[in-house]
This record gives sequence, structure tokens and C-alpha cells, in this order.
Amino acid sequence: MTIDKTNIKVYLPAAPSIYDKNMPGIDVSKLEPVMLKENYLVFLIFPQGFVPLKVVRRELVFYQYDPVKEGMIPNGVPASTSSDGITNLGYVAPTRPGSNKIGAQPLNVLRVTENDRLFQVFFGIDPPQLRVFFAMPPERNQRQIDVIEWSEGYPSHGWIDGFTSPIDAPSPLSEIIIPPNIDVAFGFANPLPYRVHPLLMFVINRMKVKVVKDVETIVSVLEGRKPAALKTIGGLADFSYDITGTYGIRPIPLDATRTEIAQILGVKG
Amino acid sequence: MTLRGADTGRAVVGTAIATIIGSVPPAMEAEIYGAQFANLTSGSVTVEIFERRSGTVTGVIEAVSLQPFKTEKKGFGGNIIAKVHSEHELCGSATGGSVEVTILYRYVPGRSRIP
Repeated sequence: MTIDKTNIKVYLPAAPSIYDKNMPGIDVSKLEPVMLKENYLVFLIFPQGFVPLKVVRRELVFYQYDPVKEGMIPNGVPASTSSDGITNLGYVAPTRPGSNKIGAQPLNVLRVTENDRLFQVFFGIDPPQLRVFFAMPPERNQRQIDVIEWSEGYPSHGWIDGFTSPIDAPSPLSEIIIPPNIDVAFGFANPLPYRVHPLLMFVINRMKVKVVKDVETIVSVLEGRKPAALKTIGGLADFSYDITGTYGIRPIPLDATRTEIAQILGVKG
Repeated sequence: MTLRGADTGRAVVGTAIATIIGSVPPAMEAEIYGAQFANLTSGSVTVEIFERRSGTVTGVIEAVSLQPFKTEKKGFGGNIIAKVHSEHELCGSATGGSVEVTILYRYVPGRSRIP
């Protein structure tokens, strides 16, 4: 066979791959700057208003989760038949990460069951090409844009993949804040021409928190005089959440006055 | 060497063009980390590895002269030795006879889709 070599590019060796590096274990260095630590203030912002919390104690949990073997998506993520890289990717709709490997068979292994607990979860993804979508509550897809929601027909935005958040070095962009008694769900899109078996590495910052009852502290945060982590729960979706049943206070509107805050907390302003 | 998420493409390459890696998904590239050519027992053969889109050859990636009983391996140090563009196949052909070619590769998001 003769090949016309005019206009032919020669490919020189490229820069070393990141996989050359010896990276034993899970690298959490990227997560350290955003990790909530003891004595930090964290304000959870719900659709109805915010709840001021302080981290009292915490521990770091690594959790390698196999969505296929644990029964979340028994058949893995189907192969893509896409001819444009946009439509017809292999897709699995958001499903709660359950486990059939333990007696209780929980429907969601990331559920927080105690009212004084809070999870800050990051996750690494393998294979790197896999796109992961997130929903919380499970029927409310997160990270949407206004004109079109991501779906099986258009899994083009709102995802994070394993190149951004590798299984052995999860990215801060994968952060999920999980308050008590609310479920999360993960969906998958596969751009590869073969079926894949996903593996997730959850890095869970498991915290014990308490409600902040000091009006001055809350006002200082709202006025920007005191640092606190402000965390929107559930994106821009509207959903109902029993804030009073969980934290014992009504949600505080972001524009509440000092008197209103004191009233809600049941303390002197 | 371990390479997370790597796949293997394998084909017997002869005078007719053989496909080693099928069409790369749209918006992806294939990074090649290693190529291994089976030992010849007799005769010498030149094998050319190239990429092709819709039947048109668009780039030569590697040309190797093989001698009997001499192992030919490229890469396998973990570095990328070549890339195949999205929507292209990786193919091979030989000047005579045939030889088995094994390619170690991974798909990555493509940044340069060639029309």
C-alpha cells in the first residue's frame, strides 16, 4: 500500500501522563482548603431560609463504593452509540446509592440519620471518562441551566467526570453537603463505545454540629465581618425540608434584622 | 506497568489495512501508551501504523521495520507516545506477510476535533 504523506502530521511524544506519578492512597490535598473543620461556622441555606451551625467535632471517612456490585446500577452504564458526542450517550438516570451487601440493605448509604450530624462529601470517579450527575432530593436534579435540563437526551452539562475528580484525588468541585434525613442520587453518562463499571471513592467529612444561638455572631457573618462557610442545599430547586423538626429553629431569612433573628432563636437580641 | 483505565487494541496487520482501534468516540481522543509488534520467524516486514477517518488516511503515527526474532516495542514507560483524533480509527498495514500488533491506549476528552 502507498500512503500520500503530504500534509501528514508526525506525532511527537507528549508530556508525561499524570499516571506516571507514584500516587499511593487517596490524595486529599485539594480538599484540605475547603474542608470544614472544628469550630468553623457553616450556614446551611435552604429554599426557606438559613440555619446557622458550628462544627463541634469531626472525622474523615474514606468509602470505596461500587455501584454495580452493591446493587445501585446492577448492569453498569451502557455503551454510547453517539455519532456527535452529545446525544445517545450511555445513560443511567439518578438513583440513590444503596447497598445490598449488608443486612439492612440501606437505600442510600450516604443518608445522615442523626439531627446533630452533617456530611461534607467529595467523590472521585473511575473510569475517568464517566460523567456523574447529582440530584438532591433524588427527584430534584442539580446543576441545571435555565433553558434546558440535563437528561438522557442531553447529558451535556451539570456533570463532573473522573478527569476533573480522579478516584484517587477527588476534586473540591464534587462537594455535596448532606444535612439529616434527605436522600441523594447519582446519575451517569458514558461517552465510551463500551459498557463501563463505575467505581466511586467517597471522602466523607463526618461532622457533629450545633445550632449557633448567638445573635451577634450571626449578624457578624451576614455583614461579612466574620468568616463562615455558606452552603446552598439542593441547588436552586425548590423542595420542602423540615428545618424546625431537624434543628429546633425556624429558618432565618437572609435579610432578617437583628430583632427577627433573636425572635427566631428565642434569645435576647 | 499499571495504567488505570487503559484498554488494549489488537489486530493482525497484513498488506490489507487492518483496524487496530475502532472509531474513537466523538469529543474524545485516544492516547497511546505502548505498541508491541509480534516476533517474526522469517522475512522482514515494514509495518505502518496510521489514523484514518471515513476511509481516508490522515496521519502516520509510527513506521517500524521488523526483523526476525527481534522484539519491537514502543512506549510502555507510561508516557503518551501518540494520539488518535476523535472520530478516527487507528489502522495498520504491512509491506508483506503479516504481524500481530498490540496497542495500549486510553480515551480522553478531545480538544481538537478534525473535520
